[in-house]
Amino acid sequence: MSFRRPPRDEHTMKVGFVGRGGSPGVSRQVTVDVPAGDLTPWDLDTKFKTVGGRTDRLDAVAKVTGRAKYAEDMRPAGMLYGVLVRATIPDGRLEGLDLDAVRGMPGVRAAIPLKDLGNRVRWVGDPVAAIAADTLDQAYDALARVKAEYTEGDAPIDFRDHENAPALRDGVVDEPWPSQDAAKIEQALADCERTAEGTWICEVQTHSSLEPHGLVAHFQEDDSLEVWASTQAVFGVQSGLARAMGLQPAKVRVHAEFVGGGFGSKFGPDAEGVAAARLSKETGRPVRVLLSRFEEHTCAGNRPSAIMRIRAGVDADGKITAWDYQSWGGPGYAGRGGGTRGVPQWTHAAVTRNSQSDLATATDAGRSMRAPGWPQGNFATEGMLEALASEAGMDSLAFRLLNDPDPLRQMEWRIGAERFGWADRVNPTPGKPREGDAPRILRGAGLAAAFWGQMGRPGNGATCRIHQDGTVEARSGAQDIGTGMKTLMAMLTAEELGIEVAAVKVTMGDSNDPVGPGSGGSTTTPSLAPTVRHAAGLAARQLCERVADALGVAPEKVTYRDGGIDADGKRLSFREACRHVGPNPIEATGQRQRNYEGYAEHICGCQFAEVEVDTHTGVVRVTKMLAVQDCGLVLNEKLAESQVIGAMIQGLSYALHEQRVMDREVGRMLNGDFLHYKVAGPADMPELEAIMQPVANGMNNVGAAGLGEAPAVAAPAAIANAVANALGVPVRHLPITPDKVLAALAKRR
Amino acid sequence: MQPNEPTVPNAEPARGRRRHRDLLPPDLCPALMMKQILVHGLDDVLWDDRAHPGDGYYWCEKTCTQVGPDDEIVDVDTCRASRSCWDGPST
Repeated sequence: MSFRRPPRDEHTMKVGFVGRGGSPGVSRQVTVDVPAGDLTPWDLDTKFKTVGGRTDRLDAVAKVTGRAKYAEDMRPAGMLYGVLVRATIPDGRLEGLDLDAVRGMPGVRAAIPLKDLGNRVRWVGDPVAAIAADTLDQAYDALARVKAEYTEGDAPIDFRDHENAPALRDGVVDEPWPSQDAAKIEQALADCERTAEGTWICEVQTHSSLEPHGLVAHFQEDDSLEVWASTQAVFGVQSGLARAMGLQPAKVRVHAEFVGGGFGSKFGPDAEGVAAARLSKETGRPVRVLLSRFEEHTCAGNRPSAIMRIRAGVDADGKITAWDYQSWGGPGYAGRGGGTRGVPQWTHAAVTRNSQSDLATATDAGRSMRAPGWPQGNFATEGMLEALASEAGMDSLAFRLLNDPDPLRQMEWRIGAERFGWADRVNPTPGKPREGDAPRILRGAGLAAAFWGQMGRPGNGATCRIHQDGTVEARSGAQDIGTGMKTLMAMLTAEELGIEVAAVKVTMGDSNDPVGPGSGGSTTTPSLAPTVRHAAGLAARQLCERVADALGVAPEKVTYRDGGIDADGKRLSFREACRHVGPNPIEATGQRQRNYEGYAEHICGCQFAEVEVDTHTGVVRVTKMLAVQDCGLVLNEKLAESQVIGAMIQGLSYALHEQRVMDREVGRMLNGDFLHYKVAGPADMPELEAIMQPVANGMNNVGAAGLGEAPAVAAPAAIANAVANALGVPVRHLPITPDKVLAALAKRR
Repeated sequence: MQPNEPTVPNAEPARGRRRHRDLLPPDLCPALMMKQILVHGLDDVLWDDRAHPGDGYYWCEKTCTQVGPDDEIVDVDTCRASRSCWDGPST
């Protein structure tokens, strides 16, 4: 523990990373202005006892044995089951709604409208009314009896049918490029030694969190509201329910101790949360509204579809000098949020133009999903890099090494290439079987860059309590959505106090604890970790004060060091010191300071994929994936690897399987279940490996970054490039299903 | 504007040094919520200063959906003081 004692203090530290595999590292001294009370930032020279290790997930046993209770498990006494009546047409207006017939049905306790007559209906699934009943079956029976009448509109279901959609000919955008800034980009392209052009298409991916959206709401007699939610933002649910129900936020208590996954769509209470609260208020009983799997697929957001086209060029050396990127997003009824983008480093030396349009449809609205817009954009970007490498007559890896300006990713490319065996796995004759393979099997390898930029935010709190028996609590109101944040909180507290991880009990997901961030944009770890460490440091300082008082020693002669206290020549272990705490525990609330100027605000990474393609069936199987990924200081190597591997699996699933299939006439999803909406399962798993690259970032007292997004950016693109290497022709339309593979092969012939 | 002209020209992410608050209209309805408000503070300096923060995913806290009390779509451009359901302080 080392506090900055003056009001503000300059601190010089070493940031960067150590070279590996023959690649040079980068380190530099930076001087930062550390605010009063913050801890000395960890840097490249810091030695750790716990942080960086492979501590097992602390709640693993609770999760696999069922002891962990999710919102789905909550059954407060007297609880009713709520369901939403949803529109059966994709576009129109509600002209009639008869709930009287269901109010007298067995078990039905309440039926309330969620729309007024004349309101717009925007997709099949738009909530119209809500019903609460004693059992779920009774609620569904009532739902089937509700009579709703509509006038119907004619908004398009598929974004390709929008009046402003680009014309597609054989899957390629066939129309002029925008006129804006045309002279500059046209000249840059004309100056290129070689150019390439292409169109890429992505279909809608649904979030498919294991635990559905929703909550259990209980209005209390004192007009307060208690809820158990499946959420990525405890305080987003609190704020939303407070405003929707006309309460002060302090009157809404939200619990989310365990959350069964979230990829960007669980930030507010949503319609189902408000419905549960209103039904609870009306009935005076707890009401549970959790979505069905069909509702999850059709009413809880999605990663929007996209059409992207790029034309780009290289100079005589193979360096990218022109980049023209245009995309159209299909974000559903809201008509916003369908933007896409690729890793920006590639175009750092190029003349660029980027343009984006959104095409509204009468379907569920898109929501943020794990690196929103980036997996789509990177699929197109990396596909274009392959085309340019081919035009330049260069190997894919050599082309990236030539054009990637980031020294960290340069090293990661080399580490990954060696570990993956890049030179041996690339198909030297794309489109032809490799030596020793059956004639029908084609193999190939591909790669892609990862990127994200986020180092967290101030404005969060965390509590550290030290008890007289030597046990320690770390508490935050933020949620652990399954990433392992509780384990990180225990490790950070243990590291700061110099004690064992097992001595730390962590509580998350209670809005009565200090405010924590929403879990999105890879911000939870970098926002919360410095706060947790700060709380532990403050608690240790209070412990010194208690010991000084108890021993009658001047405070300045008591210091905390290596998990114990030095008090005027006497050494006390942590447990011995805690005996002086007394019956009231020490409690300290840490704060998160603003970020300092450290190594870099962004993180890098790269991935490699190997596939085999059965040319008779068109089935693609990923056989191996490797990621090299940095995330600032790696707090727990095992959990970090788990995050990266999870992103690779989800990326594999997006690349090869997941696709919302809509009836383009009636607007209903045709595969809204896990039988027909294919998500990668155990049989689809390749050999997966993640290599973590630590970086002393120095942007806060911990220097860790989040891992939710960056590895998700690379995976689909790496797989698509591997398929192209195998087939000798790219498939530029996700998911790469057998029909598209066979069509590509037929076209190649 | 022609049908396929860009609506957000040159929205390349850049190393912005502006606060989130600076990217939003001053009269933005306080009931408008976005992911970036929950993961960033309004006074957070954003890495990404693209024209439309929040990934384009907005919801109204009065309804907790992407449609406001006035039955219109909510977003950062339209949830201003001129909207009938604006939930800001009375002047």
